[in-house]
Amino acid sequence: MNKMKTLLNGILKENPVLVLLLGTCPTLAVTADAKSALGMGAAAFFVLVGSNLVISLLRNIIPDKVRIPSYIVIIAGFVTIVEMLMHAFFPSIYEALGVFLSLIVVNCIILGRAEMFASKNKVVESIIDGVGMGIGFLFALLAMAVIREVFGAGSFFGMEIPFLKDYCFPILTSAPGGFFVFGLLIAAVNKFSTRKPKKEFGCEGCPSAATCGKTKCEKEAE
Amino acid sequence: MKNNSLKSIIVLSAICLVVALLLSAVNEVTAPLIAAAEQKAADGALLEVLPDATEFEAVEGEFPATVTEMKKDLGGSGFAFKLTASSSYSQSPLSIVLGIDNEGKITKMKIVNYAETKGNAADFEALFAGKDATMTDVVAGCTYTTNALKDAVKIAYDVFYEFADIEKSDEQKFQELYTAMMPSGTDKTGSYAMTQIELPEGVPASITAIYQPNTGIGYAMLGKSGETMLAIGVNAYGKVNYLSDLDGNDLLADAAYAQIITDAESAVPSIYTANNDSVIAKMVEKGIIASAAEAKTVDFGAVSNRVVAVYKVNGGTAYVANSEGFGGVLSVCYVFADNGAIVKYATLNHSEQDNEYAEMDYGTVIGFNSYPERFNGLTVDTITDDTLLIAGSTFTTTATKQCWNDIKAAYQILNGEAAQ
Repeated sequence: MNKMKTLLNGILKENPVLVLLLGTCPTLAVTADAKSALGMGAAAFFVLVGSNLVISLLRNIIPDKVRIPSYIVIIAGFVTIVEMLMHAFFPSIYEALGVFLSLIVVNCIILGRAEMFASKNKVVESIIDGVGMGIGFLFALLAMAVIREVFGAGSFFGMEIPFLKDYCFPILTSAPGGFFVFGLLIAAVNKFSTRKPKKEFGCEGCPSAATCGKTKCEKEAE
Repeated sequence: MKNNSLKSIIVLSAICLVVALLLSAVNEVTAPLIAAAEQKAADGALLEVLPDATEFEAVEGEFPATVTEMKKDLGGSGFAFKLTASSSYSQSPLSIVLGIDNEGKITKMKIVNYAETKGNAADFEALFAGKDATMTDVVAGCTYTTNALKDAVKIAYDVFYEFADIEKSDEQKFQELYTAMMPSGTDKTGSYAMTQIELPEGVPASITAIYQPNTGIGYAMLGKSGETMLAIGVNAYGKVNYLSDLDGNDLLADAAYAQIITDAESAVPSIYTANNDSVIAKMVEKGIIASAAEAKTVDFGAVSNRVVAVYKVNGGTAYVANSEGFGGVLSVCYVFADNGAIVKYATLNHSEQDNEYAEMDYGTVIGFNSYPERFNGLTVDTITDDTLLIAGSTFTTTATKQCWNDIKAAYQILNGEAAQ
């Protein structure tokens, strides 16, 4: 049950893109069409699961002082593997993602999960967390890309939609349209989620407050 | 503390080492695939023009400047060329990728860089597809760009035949000899619009095909003597004035081929008679002569030019010459009196598209309007460019001028004057 909660956490309650507002840069950059969004989502998913797994395995070995460099090296290793595989097997998606594929290294979702979850939890939970967060990221990207592609370019995964093709809003496929759709999605998620945003910003308002130890530590310190 | 630092270093180094090992293992698998994919992308444009190709290999050689690259498909589907051509019109030169199959036909042309009118590139690509080295009905070359395109493709073909190691077909060789066979047979675009005509009955078996240019100024024949295929150029009167094998070696004076000359000439009369009858009918229609019986055919010798007929008529000699105007065949007739003065002029045939000119300007017999009147009483010696007053800026006026020049030459030959 707890595992299910961890999984759903990433997909809904702590959706990395739409609730935690992490990884905004690739979200805006690669969601002009659904195909590259799927590629990006899949790549990030793989890296997330892989790095969560490895970091969780090594969580008792990696000294605290060098944990960030270690995480970065591990994540970079996975990203480079994904990059090479994509270049070899899906060259068109590789081309479409461009520099954003390599930039998964510094994607804060991945480093965030490593620091926040994988370094503190058991292997199975970490994998589940990676899967959940990966799916959440993938879904958010896909939702945004589908909206932008369908209404901005009149096509769906590259297939033309007869009527919409002639009456689309090309601005949706460019940067301003990206922000617009992103904002709408966040608004929609906030509207329909049970958790209302706190007026005050602080650790209490953070969706990750439960897993993050900061509040607890501070309380203990008091 | 010291222990702790040491552990940090070891762990981080170990992680780096493991990751590096992993990466090198993955790279081992993906590197060749990536290299192949990149090569394929580089060949992408080549593949587009030669879709059946499997693998390209560069052909080495000294190419003209416009041919930047020639690649052979190892699968044997043909050759791909990268061409560059400056149209001298815009700043950015044309960049073309051209595929030519083993039969010498253009599989596809792709204009990669085209700085001229947008959208035209696709039209040109469509025009060139499926054409061969003769480039019949492709582009006229009226603009800088079309000229540049045409020249670039022509040069690519030269390179193709030099380096591709491919035998031209007999038909191609024959077509390329059109220029030699029919020096005046080009149409308005400078290419050869030849129509194969049905072999008349009684033509000797040694003549296997007869072609006639649209202007009707002679015949190009494909003959066979023993095993040798022969290209034969025959003028409108049925006189052979060109004979060679398909490699272009002149055989006209070779006694061994005397028989084929006789055969070729014997093939003409039946075709000629029909043509001749229609010319005479036109002359009657235009009022040059009163009745068909008046015209007596004069043979003015084996000169292959635009003169298709010379007749003795009442009061002089009529010369008929054909050329290719804008909309079709232009046929003009000059009548010289015995003293050399031009007494009659008529346009026997004019393109239907601009027929009003035929009636208004060039058309009628001397005495009815201004243009023919210029000739009235002049001789070949006194007609200059100024009296002719044709600049030759249009296809039709150029054709008119060509006709006059050839009639002048024919007149001089018939009257024992040296052609100028």
